[in-house]
Amino acid sequence: MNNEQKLKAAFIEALGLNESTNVEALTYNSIPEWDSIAHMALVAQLDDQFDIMLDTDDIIDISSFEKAKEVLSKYEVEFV
Amino acid sequence: MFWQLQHGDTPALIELQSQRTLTYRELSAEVSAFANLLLSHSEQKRFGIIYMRNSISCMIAYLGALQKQDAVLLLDAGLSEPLKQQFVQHYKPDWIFDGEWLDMGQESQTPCHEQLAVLLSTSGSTGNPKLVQLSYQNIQSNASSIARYLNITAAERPITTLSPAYSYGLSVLNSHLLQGATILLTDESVISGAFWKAFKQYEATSFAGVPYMYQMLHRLRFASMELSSLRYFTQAGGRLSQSLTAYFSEFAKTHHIPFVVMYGQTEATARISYVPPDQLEAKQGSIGIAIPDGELAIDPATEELVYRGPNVMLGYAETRADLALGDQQHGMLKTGDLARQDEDGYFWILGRMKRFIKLYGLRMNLDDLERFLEQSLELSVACSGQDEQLLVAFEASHDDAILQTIRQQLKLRYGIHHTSLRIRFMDELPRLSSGKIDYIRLANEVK
Repeated sequence: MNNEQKLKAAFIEALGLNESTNVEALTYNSIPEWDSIAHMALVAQLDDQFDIMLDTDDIIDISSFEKAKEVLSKYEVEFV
Repeated sequence: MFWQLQHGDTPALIELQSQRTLTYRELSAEVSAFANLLLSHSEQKRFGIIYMRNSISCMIAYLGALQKQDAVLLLDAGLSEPLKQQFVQHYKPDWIFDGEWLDMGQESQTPCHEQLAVLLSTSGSTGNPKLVQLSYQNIQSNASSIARYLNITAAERPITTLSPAYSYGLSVLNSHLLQGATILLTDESVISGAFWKAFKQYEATSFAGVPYMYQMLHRLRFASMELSSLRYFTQAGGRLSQSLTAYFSEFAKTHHIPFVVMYGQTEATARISYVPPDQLEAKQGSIGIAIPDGELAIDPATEELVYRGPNVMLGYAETRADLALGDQQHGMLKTGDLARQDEDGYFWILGRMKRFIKLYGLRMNLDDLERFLEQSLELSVACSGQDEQLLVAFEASHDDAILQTIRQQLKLRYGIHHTSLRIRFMDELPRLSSGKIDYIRLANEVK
């Protein structure tokens, strides 16, 4: 799995979504599945999957799939 | 009484979203206007429902109802529509406030008892219609006890983190209005940037949190945040894990601010006991000592924790007619928790007599959940679990489609996130010889 797929899988697992969901289009609070509780589950997934520890500001910043990629890049997770 | 609002030109409410500020004088005028609106429709005591948010308009409606002495049921505005309708149909309110005031048109069929002030749901998130009835004395005395042991002054600026329809959230509002403090009103969660921006901009001095919120704060690396205005913080709504208690008491110690761990129940308006902050380290895991004016004891026959105080509810309500009952408890509450008292007089919870767990600080009645799942899936089901984790066991073979449906239904209807959920399929649910579910064996078998 490349990092993009890993990130996608993390979203699907944390938010409890269908495999077929268009993850790229999601934004925080735009669907009932992505609430504050799911957001913390997502952060836990990202910390585990990419073996990092996200900072406070970055956790708050992850408001979409794209934004998550941007934040992860700061932790030397590369997306091609 | 805190709803008299006699604190002059001190700011009372600041609504963060609109940046609107109301002084106590201005708030008082708005509240009187709302009380007059209620009076103009009926001089009798009536019964209304308010869908609560942390907003100025909801606060005006709540305080206006108290001033006019209408009884009000406070429900969370975020409750799902079917659950709201269930309450409306069951209790037939004379009026509803949902951002706007709506007269339901009927003269009160059933009178409310004159002492009845506020009704709160015991397990509203599962749609159970059972309510706690609180008197004017209940809400006033609990606000006053809390203000005393937390040393709340007019200089405080708490920021809201809980629903005002939840007893803990409401108690923060009441106790600060009593002392003429300034309340920062927001529905933003602690994981939103807007929350922390406002926290700093308006120099919040305190916040309240349930265990789930402390888990989030921990993940947010709370200890590394710069919060120079913070004067103290409180925790209630279930037991905080040992590691989190240690983390947050360490933070409190290094910053020289109190961290106040508390225990309570909606049946006691909100607060029953607290741990004096200087004892937190020595008494980690204890629920502390009774609040001022309250008294705790253990029933020697059953080990049940019993509380006495002026904040003990009038009683429960299960039907509209019950609102006329008045005081059924006479200041005495059996908590349903088993406890012991140590040699210093501190109380420790040992277990629970009733069938509920706490998720995100909210009480979830396990029998309600069972009934709901049984009806919607037509399968035998048993619900169990511990705080922060619900266990659902089905008498069926594993089925991914059912699994997905359960996750969705529990999420949509009750807001239960699937990571707080364990679902098991079993050939046979463990039963007692009477045919009832054996919950002890169930808990052991899925460990």
